[in-house]
Amino acid sequence: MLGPPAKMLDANARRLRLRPPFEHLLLHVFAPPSMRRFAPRRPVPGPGLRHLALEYDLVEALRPTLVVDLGAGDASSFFAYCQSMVDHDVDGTCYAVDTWTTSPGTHPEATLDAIREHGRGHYPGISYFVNMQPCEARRHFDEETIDLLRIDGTRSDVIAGADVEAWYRRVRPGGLIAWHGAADEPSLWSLLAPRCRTALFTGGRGGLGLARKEGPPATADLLALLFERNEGPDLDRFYGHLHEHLEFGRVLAATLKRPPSGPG
Amino acid sequence: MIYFPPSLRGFVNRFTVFSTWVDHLPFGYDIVHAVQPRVLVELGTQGGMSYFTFCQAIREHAVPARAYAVDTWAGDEHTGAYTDDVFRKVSEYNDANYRDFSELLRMRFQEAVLRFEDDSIDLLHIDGFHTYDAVRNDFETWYPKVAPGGVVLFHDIAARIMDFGAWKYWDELTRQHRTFTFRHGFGLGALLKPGGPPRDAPLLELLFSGDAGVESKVRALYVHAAKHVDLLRHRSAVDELKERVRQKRAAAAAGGSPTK
Repeated sequence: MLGPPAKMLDANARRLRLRPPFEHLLLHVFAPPSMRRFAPRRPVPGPGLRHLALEYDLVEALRPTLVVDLGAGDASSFFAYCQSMVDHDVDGTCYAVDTWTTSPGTHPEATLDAIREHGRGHYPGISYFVNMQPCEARRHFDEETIDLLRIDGTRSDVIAGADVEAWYRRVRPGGLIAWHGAADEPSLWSLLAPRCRTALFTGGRGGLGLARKEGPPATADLLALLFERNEGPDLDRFYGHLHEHLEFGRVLAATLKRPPSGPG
Repeated sequence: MIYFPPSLRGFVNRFTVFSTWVDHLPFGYDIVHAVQPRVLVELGTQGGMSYFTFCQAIREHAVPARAYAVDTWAGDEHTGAYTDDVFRKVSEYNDANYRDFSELLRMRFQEAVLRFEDDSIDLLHIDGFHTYDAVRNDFETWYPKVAPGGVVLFHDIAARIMDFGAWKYWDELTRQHRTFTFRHGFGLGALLKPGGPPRDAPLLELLFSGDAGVESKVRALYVHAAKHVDLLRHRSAVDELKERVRQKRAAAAAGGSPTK
């Protein structure tokens, strides 16, 4: 929930004799679940890690029944969603859509077999893998049913077959679209932006755009800060810090596990 | 506006000794920034972990403060007696880094208190002998010296060991004053003395909001901040170790001897 109402903070400011213009009457202390307890169970190095903490918190805030990830790739975001579903007792299902074509440079954890194995091991009954193009997958989802739709907009194959308009109709009122690469593809992002409340997070590959389809007012703390109070820039800074924190921890753990390297 | 404390903007403590204060370093850094003390006093400095964090904050935030560390540096029944080496190291570090605004007062608290005017201390940290009577005596003796609007910190208010009684006295204080309680790191209490000039200090507003939801989040934020600083410290240590290994190997390779 949000912090104390402005009236209460106003009274508090008077008691503390705070200096006008009382800019921080709207001061908010933010302590999301990702800050308290999140460590990615399966971090695959790459730009996909940049927004994991935010994605983890979006699930806690939205409590989705249905999540669809178009262009799941190495499934970093997808498994952050799944992890949050389990950690917060969210009763829902997540579908990862991709063709998972591999190349010599594919990370061993990013193959469909490895992803499926991780999903079966940690998220049975929550995680499903739909091995097809987004355009084919669309018929498996009804209109206004998806609570959280992730689109990897950095991939031309995903965008080409996604049909943004058709997928937009499949998102329920008040549902969220998480668009990776929104900053790099303003023309596509602009299809959503006029019809939704939006926020843009920097970093990663092309940033992460969030669009909330019109619906009932958001009450969860994170969603209200994003879409009712327009605190996107402050949240962007906060999540930049959380990403840095997770990365320090990941790199440090890897360094301590790694056997000594050769000279230099 | 979302509160994003100074300690999460790249703070790494420059001075480290073994101390249970380690979990409060980010808050110690931020409270100096928030209070902007003209006079800061610490009662019970021992190895200097908290005191030099305050000093680092004074330096890095360019606070026009005078800082005083009061201790006999002889130890007590709780810490055990310690050698003069502890004072020597604190003194050397202070001289090397903060002598322009920081002064070590090697004496008993009741002697030092005579040096301060009433209503003159903006930030007081009480971390001396931890029995109920001792903490109460320290507070009652020094509270008149605290300026209106000043903040008093109490360490070890969650410690239930030996004959520690800081927790019990703190519990009494919370019923009489505006306070905030951190439970991690053996506990740290913050008490606001009423009055004083208007302040532009978001941290103080959050600490003393009186709203349980806000207080819970502030506690969580500073538990995280402590973990973050700990992580940075470990990373620095690993980086230094790697650099030493690299240099050793490079020297060995240049000399033609096998590396180990």
